[in-house]
Amino acid sequence: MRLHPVNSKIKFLTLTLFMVTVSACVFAPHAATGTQLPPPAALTPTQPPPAAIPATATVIVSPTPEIAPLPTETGLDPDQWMTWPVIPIVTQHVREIYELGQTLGNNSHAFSILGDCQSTPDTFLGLYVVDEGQYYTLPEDFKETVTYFEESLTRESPTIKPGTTSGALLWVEWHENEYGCENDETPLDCELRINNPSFALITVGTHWEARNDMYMRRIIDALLARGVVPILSTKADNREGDNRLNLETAQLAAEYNIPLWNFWPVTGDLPGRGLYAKDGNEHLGAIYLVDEALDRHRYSALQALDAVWRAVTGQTSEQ
Amino acid sequence: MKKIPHVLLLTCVLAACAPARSPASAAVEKYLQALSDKNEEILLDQVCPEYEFDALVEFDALAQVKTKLKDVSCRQIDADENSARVTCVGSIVSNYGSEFFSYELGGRIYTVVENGGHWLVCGYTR
Repeated sequence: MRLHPVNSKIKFLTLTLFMVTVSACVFAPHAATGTQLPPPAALTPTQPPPAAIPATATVIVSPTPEIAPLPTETGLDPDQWMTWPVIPIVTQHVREIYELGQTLGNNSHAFSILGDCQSTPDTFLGLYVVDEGQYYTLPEDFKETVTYFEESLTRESPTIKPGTTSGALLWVEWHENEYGCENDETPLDCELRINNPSFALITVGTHWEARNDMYMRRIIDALLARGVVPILSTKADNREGDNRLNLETAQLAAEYNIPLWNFWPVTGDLPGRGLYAKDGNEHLGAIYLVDEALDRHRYSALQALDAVWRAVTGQTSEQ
Repeated sequence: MKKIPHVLLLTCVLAACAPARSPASAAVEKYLQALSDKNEEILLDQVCPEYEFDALVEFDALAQVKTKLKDVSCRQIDADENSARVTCVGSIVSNYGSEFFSYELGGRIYTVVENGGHWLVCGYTR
């Protein structure tokens, strides 16, 4: 009987996993050396691989594994946020937030998204899990990141919903009592309780309101108190007219010394910055991302997550 | 023939017995209407200072979705000298494009406080 292509693929992957496992057992250094080989890319994630040990290179055993130090400050001026790098600069403070979270029992594989309709799993990072075509075009390091956070990337959650504002994340009714959220629980508190994340990407702001800064501070404070690493982001649109939301976000990133994924420049070369107005929501203006912009949104978010995760865990990325 | 006066009499008696719409329940309804209409000024005029933050969170949470009240009616369930508790039925329905959401008001028990003749919404529990 001819095997179904999927079955063949599973067999092939199983065989590959077996061979890689055997190879790892043969070549792994003794545990007492304090080093370990990274797990095979895109297979079973258990722990983040240690820094700078390529899968096929000769392993150099050092008596004490060293974690690369991180800068204490980003050195970035919030007023110049338009020229900030897309991928966040991660400081020592961020590593300390992460380490606090690990001592508090946060799930190192769990990642939360606080976002609107452009952050749902089927349009955002979840596509890297469910769409093989998207997954296989990724560089190896990013495949590893996707695999490591796989369950989080495909989750529906109380903090992802069309029209979400920073205020909505703090309103106890917004989750409509779904996802196992309690009556008196904000979507943010509910998400932190049920997902227990180590990282949280905050990608609201397109649906801005006047008190965005006040709510963002509450959200960031709640995350920091639980040792969750906040990753802020800028947006591609300028619906408010003077870019003040992106400026505010950069100011918060600088003040709190936390990472910022600078999405704003990513679509700068696309016609209309890659934005359009949606039928039925014309009153909101051109705030929706065209397909090319959505691809870049997804990919640059993964770059940001990868960079922050590897930095706080002392890994280096080949990307 | 004689039935008509009886029906009229019964209607008048029932109308007289029905509780008048209390100022406290009217205050809650006005608050909800301001929320739905996205009228921040009226909303803030209807709330206690200590409830202002929560009221604004509720207001801002709905800022970018279209909202309307559906079958909303509130009634006072008890009161003392200058405060009252009010329950409501109905819901706030909202839509974002083709997606619809509903926030049920049933089960909310509002605390309303009288201050200088003005009744203010000071929060709710479930």
